[in-house]
Amino acid sequence: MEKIGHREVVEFAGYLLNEETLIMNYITMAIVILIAILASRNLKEVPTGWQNAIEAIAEVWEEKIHTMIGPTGRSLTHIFLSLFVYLVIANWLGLFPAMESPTNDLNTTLGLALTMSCFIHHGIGVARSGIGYFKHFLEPFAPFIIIHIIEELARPASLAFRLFGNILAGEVLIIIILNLAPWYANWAPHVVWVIFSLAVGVIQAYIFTTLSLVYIAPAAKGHDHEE
Amino acid sequence: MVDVNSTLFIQIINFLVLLLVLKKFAWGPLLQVLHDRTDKIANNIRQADEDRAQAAEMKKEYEQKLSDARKRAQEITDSATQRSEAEHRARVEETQQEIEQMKAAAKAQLQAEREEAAKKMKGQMVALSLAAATKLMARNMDDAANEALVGDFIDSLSKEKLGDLSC
Repeated sequence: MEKIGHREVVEFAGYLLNEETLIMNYITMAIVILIAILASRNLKEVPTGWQNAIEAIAEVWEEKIHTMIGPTGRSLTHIFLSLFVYLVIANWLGLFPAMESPTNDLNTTLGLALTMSCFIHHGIGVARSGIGYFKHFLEPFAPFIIIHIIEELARPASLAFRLFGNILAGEVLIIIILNLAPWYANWAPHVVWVIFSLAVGVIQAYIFTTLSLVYIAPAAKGHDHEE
Repeated sequence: MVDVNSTLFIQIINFLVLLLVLKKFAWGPLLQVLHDRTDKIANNIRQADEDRAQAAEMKKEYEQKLSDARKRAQEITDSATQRSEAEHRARVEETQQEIEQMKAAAKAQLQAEREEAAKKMKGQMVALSLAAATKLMARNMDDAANEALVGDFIDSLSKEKLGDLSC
């Protein structure tokens, strides 16, 4: 019980690292890469199997990107596809016995949120509009920079805590259900909750990816920074 | 659990590496195939629309041509019929004229032959008359007869012509 969400911290070259988070993260990455290999190996014009599945997911995101950014957003599809597939696998991984989601550690979710809403967001903004992109922090007039900065901090924080909270809560509840009821009765709520958690994993991945897209869309559209 | 440490930076780097690897080796080619197919389908649909429009236009054109050809054929048939009728009529007229001419010629020939025959007969009659006259004249050599003849003639003269001529 006391181990829920607890991380063994190891020190490596003076840096504190959560060993288990990193291990689970690499397992997730390995699975994602395996799926990617299965999907992209001998690509066919008429897709079957993994290629078909990944294409279906890719088309969902491509359509969203098309709606929010327009035809120029096509080149960003791979970012959201990667993020979504990674998050689904990461969220599901904690449902296996003796495993924990890398996303039940704030380090992972905050890292993803910062990557999406800061680096990729402003990176795309600068790439599309040049250094003048940062002018929108002063719009409609200079003091608004305070509000913009709060917004910039709130976005990754809200993204990170939402995912972290949902996944951690799901895994905590799995352990609580298993311990709360006697062994001959606990399997029923456990199965229900695991099925529900599967759905939550996909829904949270979807929310995280969609919100990232919503944040990035104005910057990717170029000159129009209204939100 | 909620303590943020260096894992954060490792995770950021891990995720960026994952993005790059997936883009380069998996999603890039996969999305390329997807986009190519989307474009191809869009092209095919547009091409099909164009082809259909073109086919409809060609059909219309051919129907127009067909109806023109039909009309033209009708015209040709009509004019041929007219011409053949006119020719037929002309031929009949010509034949009638020829018949008339032949009739007239025949009549004229008949007339001429009759006249010729009449002329010939006249000549023969003269000749016959002359021959008869000659024969009669030969018999005239008989004095007595001659005398009687002349006497008859004189007699007739004296009776019918001379009248009161005294001899």
